[in-house]
Amino acid sequence: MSSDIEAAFAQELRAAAESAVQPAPGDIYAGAVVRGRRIRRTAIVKRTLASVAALGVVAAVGVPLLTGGHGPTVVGAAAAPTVKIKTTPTADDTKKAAAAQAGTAWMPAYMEQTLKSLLPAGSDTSIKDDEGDNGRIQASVPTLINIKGTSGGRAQTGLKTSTGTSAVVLITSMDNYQVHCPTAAEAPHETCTKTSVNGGTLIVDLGFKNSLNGQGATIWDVYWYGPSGQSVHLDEVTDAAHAATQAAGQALTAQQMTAIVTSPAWDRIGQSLPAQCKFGVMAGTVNSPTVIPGTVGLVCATSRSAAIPGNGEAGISIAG
Amino acid sequence: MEHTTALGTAARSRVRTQEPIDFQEFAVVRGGQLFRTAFLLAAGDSHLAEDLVQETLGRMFARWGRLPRLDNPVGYAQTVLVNVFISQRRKHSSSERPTEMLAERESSTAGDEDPALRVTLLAALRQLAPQDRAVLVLRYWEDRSVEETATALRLSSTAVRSRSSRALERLRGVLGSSMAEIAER
Repeated sequence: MSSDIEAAFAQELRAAAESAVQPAPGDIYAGAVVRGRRIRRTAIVKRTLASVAALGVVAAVGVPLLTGGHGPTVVGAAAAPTVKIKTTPTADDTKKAAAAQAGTAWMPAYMEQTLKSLLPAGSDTSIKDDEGDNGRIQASVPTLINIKGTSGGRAQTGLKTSTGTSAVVLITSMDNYQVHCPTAAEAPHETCTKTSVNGGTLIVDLGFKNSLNGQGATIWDVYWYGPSGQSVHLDEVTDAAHAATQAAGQALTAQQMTAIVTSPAWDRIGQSLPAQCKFGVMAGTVNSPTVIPGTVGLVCATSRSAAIPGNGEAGISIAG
Repeated sequence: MEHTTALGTAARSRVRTQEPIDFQEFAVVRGGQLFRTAFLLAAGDSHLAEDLVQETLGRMFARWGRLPRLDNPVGYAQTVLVNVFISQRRKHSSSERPTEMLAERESSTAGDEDPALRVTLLAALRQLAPQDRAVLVLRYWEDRSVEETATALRLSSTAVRSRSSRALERLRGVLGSSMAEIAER
């Protein structure tokens, strides 16, 4: 086929494209948000419930937190953590990962201890065996913590009440992107409030996996965006199948979640995390002016190939 | 037609400079162009086109907080759109059958010289395999190079060239005299 015909075809194709009667931009946006929220929430449910199940452990948190007192409050605590480097394919990568580890090594334990300390009074964070003498499943090691060199740390744990089992993920970061409350049309079964607190922004978003019809797992998200750019996000997911009623299955109340995310204790992590680096982080010179505060020689990577493996994640994983 | 509001101009500028932008701005500014591409991929089915764009932007929304790290969010959106189209067509392929007859011509609202020819072209596109259609749309509407098209569709450059050539031949066969008419324009 000649280039003349190709050119004519391209022209006709353009004419056809331009002839399309476009939907209103607002309609496209609204539809996209609804779908995007569904995708995001499906991912949250999979991430939290599946990964907690993968740990094979569930902690128990006291029923009094929500229902006013049906038994002891128990939270399983992490066993002595072990550190593993996810990706160390080369000696150079090992050095870079070690640098990242050294700069953030304190964070997992700090996150774990901080999270424990912020759980409601009466919570039991002692280590439990997987199986008791009578064969019943006991609460056990619940904590999985990852520290990302570029964007923050994550603490994950399972919380159990007599009415349900929740997976809780806490993320601290310096990402500058803030979520927005959905409109009533986008999520009619969701309750979302945005308030100013202590110079920052607090978003409390209580909904379900499917916020259009209020079905599926219960998902509560609480976000705190501090005045210095730090953000703390706590999401609590309770599989509807594991809860007597959806709300009753939540281990923490919205107020308790709010108290956790707004704690000044997270500032230490936020101040030590690098600002968002486009390509992730890499090891720099000790005297480099661009060294990221709180790290040992970490700087923003100049390219993806130069970044520490794992898309900028420092490769520190601590599993209880 | 591109939106030419101050908001749109600012957002486009920010898209180019990789600064963080609001998702709503991105959706409003880029939604129109995405829809036109989707309209061609859907061979003139505007409902399917809108569905493709909403799904594409929905996937963008779901990971919007991480998008500033992308080198080219606009290109990323186009790639997602094509992938959504091909995967959706694959899922529906069992219930779709190419027709020998061109679809009934739809009325067009654009002020072009020959809307009938345009509709004929769209109907002919409908008879192409989804991946062949995507190759033509990326090459001749998006003006992507063979290599860029190959990357977006996860094909080799050779495969893109052969698919493009084959698809155009097929169109010529389907369109018959209409193709000559296109060439004369």
